[in-house]
Amino acid sequence: MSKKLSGVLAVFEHVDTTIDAIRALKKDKRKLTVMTPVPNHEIAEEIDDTQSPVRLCTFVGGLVGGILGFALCAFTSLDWPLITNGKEILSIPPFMIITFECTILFGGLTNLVAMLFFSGLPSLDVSEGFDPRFTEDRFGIWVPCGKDEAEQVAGVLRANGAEEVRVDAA
Amino acid sequence: MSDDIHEQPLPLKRREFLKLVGVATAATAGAGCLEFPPPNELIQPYVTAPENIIPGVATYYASTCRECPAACGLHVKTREGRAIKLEGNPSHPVNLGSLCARGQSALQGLYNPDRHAHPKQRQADGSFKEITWEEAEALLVEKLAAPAGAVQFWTGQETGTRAALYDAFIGALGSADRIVHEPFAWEALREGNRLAFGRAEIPTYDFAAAGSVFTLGADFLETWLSPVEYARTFATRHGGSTTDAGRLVAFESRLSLTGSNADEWVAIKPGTEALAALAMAQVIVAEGLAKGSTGGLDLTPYAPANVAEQVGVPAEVLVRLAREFAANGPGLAIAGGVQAQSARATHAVVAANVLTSVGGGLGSALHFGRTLDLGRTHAPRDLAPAIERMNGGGVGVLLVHGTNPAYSLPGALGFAAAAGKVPFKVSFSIDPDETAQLCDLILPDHHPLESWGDAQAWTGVRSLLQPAMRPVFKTKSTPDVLLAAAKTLGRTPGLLAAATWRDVLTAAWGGPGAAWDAALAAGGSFAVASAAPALALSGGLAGVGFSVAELGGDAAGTPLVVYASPNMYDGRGANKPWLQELPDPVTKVVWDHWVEIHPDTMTKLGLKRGDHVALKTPAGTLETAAYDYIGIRPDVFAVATGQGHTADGGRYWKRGGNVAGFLPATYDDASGGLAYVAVKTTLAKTGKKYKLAYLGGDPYTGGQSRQMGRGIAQAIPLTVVTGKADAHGAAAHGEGGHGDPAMHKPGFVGSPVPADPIASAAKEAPNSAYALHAKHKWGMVVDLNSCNGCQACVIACSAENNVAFVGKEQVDKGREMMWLRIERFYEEHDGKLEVRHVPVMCQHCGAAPCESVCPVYATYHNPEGLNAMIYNRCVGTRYCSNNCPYKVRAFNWFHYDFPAPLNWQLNPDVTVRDKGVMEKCTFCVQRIRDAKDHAKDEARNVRDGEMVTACQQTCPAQAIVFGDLMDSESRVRQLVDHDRGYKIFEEINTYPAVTYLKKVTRDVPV
Amino acid sequence: MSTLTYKKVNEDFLSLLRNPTKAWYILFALDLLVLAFGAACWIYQIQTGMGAAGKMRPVMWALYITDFVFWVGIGHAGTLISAVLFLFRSRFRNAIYRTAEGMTVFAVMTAGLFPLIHLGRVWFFYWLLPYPNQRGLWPNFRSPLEWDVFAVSTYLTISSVFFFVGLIPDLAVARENAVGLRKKIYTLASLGWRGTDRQWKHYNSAYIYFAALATPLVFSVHSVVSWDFAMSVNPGWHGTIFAPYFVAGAIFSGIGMVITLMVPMRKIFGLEKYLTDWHFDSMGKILLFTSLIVTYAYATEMFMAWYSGNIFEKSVFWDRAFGPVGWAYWIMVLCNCLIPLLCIKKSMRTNVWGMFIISIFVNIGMWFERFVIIVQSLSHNFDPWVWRMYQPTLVDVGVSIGSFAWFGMFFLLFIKFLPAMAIVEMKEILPAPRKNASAA
Repeated sequence: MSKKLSGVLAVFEHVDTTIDAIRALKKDKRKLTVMTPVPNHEIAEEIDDTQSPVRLCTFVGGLVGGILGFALCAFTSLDWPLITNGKEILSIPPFMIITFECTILFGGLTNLVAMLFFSGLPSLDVSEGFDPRFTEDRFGIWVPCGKDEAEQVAGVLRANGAEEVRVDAA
Repeated sequence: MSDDIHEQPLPLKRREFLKLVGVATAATAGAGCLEFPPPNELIQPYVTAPENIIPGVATYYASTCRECPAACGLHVKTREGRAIKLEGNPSHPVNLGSLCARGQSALQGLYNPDRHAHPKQRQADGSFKEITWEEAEALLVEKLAAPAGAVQFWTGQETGTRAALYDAFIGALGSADRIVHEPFAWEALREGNRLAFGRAEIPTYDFAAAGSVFTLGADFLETWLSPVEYARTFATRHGGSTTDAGRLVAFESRLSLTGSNADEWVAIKPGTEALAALAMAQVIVAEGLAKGSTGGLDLTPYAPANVAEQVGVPAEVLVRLAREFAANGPGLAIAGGVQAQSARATHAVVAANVLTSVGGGLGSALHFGRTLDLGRTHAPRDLAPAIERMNGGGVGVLLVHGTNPAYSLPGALGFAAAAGKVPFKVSFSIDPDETAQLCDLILPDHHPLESWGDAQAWTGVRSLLQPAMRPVFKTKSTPDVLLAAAKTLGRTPGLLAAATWRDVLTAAWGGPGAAWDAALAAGGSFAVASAAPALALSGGLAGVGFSVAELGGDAAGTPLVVYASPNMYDGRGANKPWLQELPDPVTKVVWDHWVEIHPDTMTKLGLKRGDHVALKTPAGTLETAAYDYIGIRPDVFAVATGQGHTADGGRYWKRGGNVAGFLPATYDDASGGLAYVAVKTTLAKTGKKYKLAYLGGDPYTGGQSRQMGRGIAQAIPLTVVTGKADAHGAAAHGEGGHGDPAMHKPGFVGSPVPADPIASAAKEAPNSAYALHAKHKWGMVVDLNSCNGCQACVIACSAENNVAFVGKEQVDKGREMMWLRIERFYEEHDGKLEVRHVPVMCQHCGAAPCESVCPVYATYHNPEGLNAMIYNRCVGTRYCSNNCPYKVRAFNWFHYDFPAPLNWQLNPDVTVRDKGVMEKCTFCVQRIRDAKDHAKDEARNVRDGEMVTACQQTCPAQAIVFGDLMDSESRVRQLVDHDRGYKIFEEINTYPAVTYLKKVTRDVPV
Repeated sequence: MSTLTYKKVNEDFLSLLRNPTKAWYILFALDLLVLAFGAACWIYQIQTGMGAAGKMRPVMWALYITDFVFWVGIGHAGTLISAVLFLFRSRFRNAIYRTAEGMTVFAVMTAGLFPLIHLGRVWFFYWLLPYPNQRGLWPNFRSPLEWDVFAVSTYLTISSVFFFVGLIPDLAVARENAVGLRKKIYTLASLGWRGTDRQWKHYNSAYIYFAALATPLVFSVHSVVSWDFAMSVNPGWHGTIFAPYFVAGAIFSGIGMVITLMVPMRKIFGLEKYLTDWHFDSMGKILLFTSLIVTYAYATEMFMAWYSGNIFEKSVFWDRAFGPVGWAYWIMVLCNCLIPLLCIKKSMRTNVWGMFIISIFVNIGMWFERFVIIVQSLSHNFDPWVWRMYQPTLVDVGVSIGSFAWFGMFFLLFIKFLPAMAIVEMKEILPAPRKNASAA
């Protein structure tokens, strides 16, 4: 427990109140984490509206996969050229299928890895600034801050209609 | 009796299944771990190398085939001291290197797992007990020393020194009672020739010299006299495509393989051969076309108008055929085959000779320049007294060698019963046949391939037998047994003085020395009399009263035609899995026996193919299965000889009924030969559940015996080839193919036959295998005009390539393994039935559909144009077979056994495939390899004709040519561009390496 | 659905995860029994040889490949619904996609077995995989079977990943409501999901790309499967229409199977609130649409056979309809072309049990479609001499039945141990709770 950051955790019942709180905290430049049971675009826009880098990774992964797929066909066929059905050793059309499948395969896997990496998963310890209700029907805001500021932050949150505010002390 | 010869318990047996459920539950519980049976192989290097054996190098021994009286020359190929293949002896004048299916299967007689493995003595309880040779020979001598009566010695037909030795032996025992019984001894033929020419011999039938051949029930391509020789000479003339190409007309009530090669089939009533022949002779004489005498015979009574009724053929047909016969001379008419062996068989032969005479065939197509020696045989009618002697108790000891009277004589003759009255019976039989089962002492002889001996084929042509390997079992050469016995008995006159049988033989061949050695190496001494002396009918034929053979049995019954099975022959083929699995050449039934009935008659009788029926004659009942055969007169039934063995010994042979056994003891009046066509029979369903197994698909899917216009077996009229008519004139004759422009079926996406497969294919696909051939492009040409469908090639292929036999059940499921099959298609035009035989093997396509679909490169196109199959790469997806338009790939559904010692025959140069892999024709790649190695040793290129595939090597009709398509000089290269050439399913653009030459039909009247 | 709240959704769906009832255990035990039977048949076949199954020349492929194509087809609805409909933002997806995806993964796992089961030498199956080996030999990438290896394994991987990623937030929900071992497992499986803004951001972005990748994959996989046949020269197989024809068929059968599975689930777990007429109506429309495509394909095949004039084609299609196994063809036509026409009526589409019965017919019909295409075409090939009809043995049948048990086993486990309904995505289509609703 000692390693845990100290901060304030607020539980909201409604989206709009949550958003008010976020705005307020943003005003006094607080770093904060919002937890929602379902993805909520309003909240997402409040926090930040930059694009996730996952898509780039996926694109690169797919590209690499495609190249590898084709290379596999091409080089293995040339490695020991065996004629079948009088077709070219480098029969492009069939190789395209392998290329395609590898594109998808690698794209998909990089997509997964990137997603996990950027969203900091896995991190099995969820006790920090988290409340089970966030997976049900409550919205939460976690504001890491020192003991000294805790009261002020808690105030802001209450003011914006948090149904419950908890101060996690280190 | 189970046909399940490989013990595949299908469907699952209950016990086994429960066991497996156990295993499975374990497996599903995650503990499943399979155990596969360990490969049972022993690799033993020679410690001290045996003499004259270089491992990996084949040694050939010249010998002689004893599977029928023709006495073809053999080359026995041995590897590491074991005979692995039989090929014809190229220098032997009878067969010039070819060999029939039966001859090649002699190997499975040699290695037959059911052979008598040692001397046996009958016990009180009737069972046999193994004894040593000492005991056995002692016993023999004891019985011979004081026989309770005369000694009677039954032997098979022998034409060499053995006969002399046997006579000497029986003579020394103070008896002259040697009975020679050969089921097909052609008595009628010899008697007929005696009457016609005053010579009771088999003359030379030169089919190459005959412009027209009329066969009256003589199946000269199957069992009649010397099939291999005749197939060759017949092909040389009939296989031609020039105006003087021979023509063949078959007069038989049941279409035989020979008949299926005829240009016209005349379905005469059984037993009327003589009248048919005379009727045509009459026409020829009457129209002044005769080229020879009628032997003082007045033919007018036999005018077509008079006999047409009896013969069952319209008079005008006989007249037309007579004119054709005279027009396309010299004419040769032959008779006296088993299916013409009625009570008038001899007369048929005489009549045939008369027809030959007026047709101008005497002295050319038929002459006595050299005669076929059948040795001394007893006609079945003359056996009655001998059997009587047994019955009368006059016979004390019965010796039997090389014949099986208990099986091959009519039950009515009562051989078995009579033998029962003989106190002591000795069999020298190789196989546990019916006669051996009757005996008290069995002294198994060596198999001919293990024995010394000789045989006379033609006058001047003497062949030698020499042991090709050490005996497989504890057997002993009968002549040696007899010599030893004679010595202990102290009766050694003449021949019997010799120490060993080999000495006797050597002496008979002029003693040891260079001549003997040369003879051994050559396989005999061949002084062929090539001259064809003039010949004319001896007069006095007027005396012979020609008439129709009366058939016994139920007057209301249906005439029964008995014909000689091309595979089983007289029954000696029955225990050889190769011959059992080899489809009958016309019905394509395997592993079975059947009665042939015309489809219309079938429906009339309410029969379906495969129904189990009983045929009744006064002499007995024959239970067999019904088969609807289009090639038979509606008013006739036909059954084949050779099946229906009853002895327990043979694991493969208890199938169907024994025909000879249930025939009444009736004979050909003149010669005393057994009348095979003798009775009318009544047919009744037995109600037993039964199934026939046969190739050519399944009536369930239907249509398999027709080409459905797919041009698999194409043909072209002679008149078109010779330019007498244009293709369109012949179109009416529906040659069943699109390849022939005239026959081009609308709607075919047909590509023309590539004149040059390599160039055109390379053009089609620039990067295709064709463009990339290193040095050779192996190709094959099959001339359908020569091929007669005898299937010798199929056995050759199986023997060369270790192709497994799978048994009746599996063939019935469509799982036969043969790499080469002869497809038999029926064509009907103008109400005439035409049969086409087409050998189909892997076509080694230049652009092979099977190759590209294999995920593991188990099959690919090798640089020499072969469609290579790599067994140990194969994982068994079977996609290649699905994608093969020719369906020539066989899959190993199971592990197939070669019950020891049959496995000794396996060719060490060829992998034996195990379950789960695909296999197919390789163009005998091992032989190609061999030829190339030889060439390499001699630092030269392979010569054309050096690479010979097994099928090509044995083909009696020389229908198959194999060679290098890249060698512009090669024979195959010349033939590929032949104007009769076509490829099967060429429109799929597979560029097959196999080119077929269209059959030439003669059905356009001249 | 307005009556629903986030809380209600949680309660309802988590109730599915309660410990299994006796009925479930009995069902599961029976399933394992059938599976054991199938396994026994397979083991017997491996030991005896491929001949234990009824195959022969010319029908070298039969029930196993039929089952393979059938299951791959089933495997298509899942990804289609979850990916394609996701891209189309079609809302009826959310209630059914989880089950459909589960079905997909298990169906592909089942399908994947058959290429092995049908191998003559299954103990060398790995020779199909491209790996450096002492034989210096690589697979033949020109072979449609090798394409299968890649297509099916890719499809299995991607759909499993897709399935898993969709599960993460729901597993987090389960985690928070489970105890003991289950909690541990869910904790691991949910990778410590907390639903922070950052996680949602990357999650949503990734999810779209999964959908974007899976969509072409769905179409490619069954095209590749169809090319196992279309790439051959066989009459009845060699057709350019095969890829679209098979894809449509796959979706058709897949939707059919979804309905077959969902109707009982709906009943047993009382999900009427979530799986409404509207869902079945929408699925009914897809069913009808794909059925029409399939019908069109059948008609085109027949027409082309006649129009081409190619006697091989003509003959094989004549035999298909009127030959010895013509009955199979007509079963197929009845189940795939005629019965689904009932879906034209909305009343029928919204009649849940009616749809259930139709879906059963669709499953049967699609199985027979594959049987007819594979077995009949092969039995009636180029060379009339080798024509022969195939008869299945106990082993063929046993293994085929076993495959259903194999699929059933996974599905039974799935509905009890994983959120079979997409909790989060159900919530997504609910209005988010607000203090002053007017603001919305």
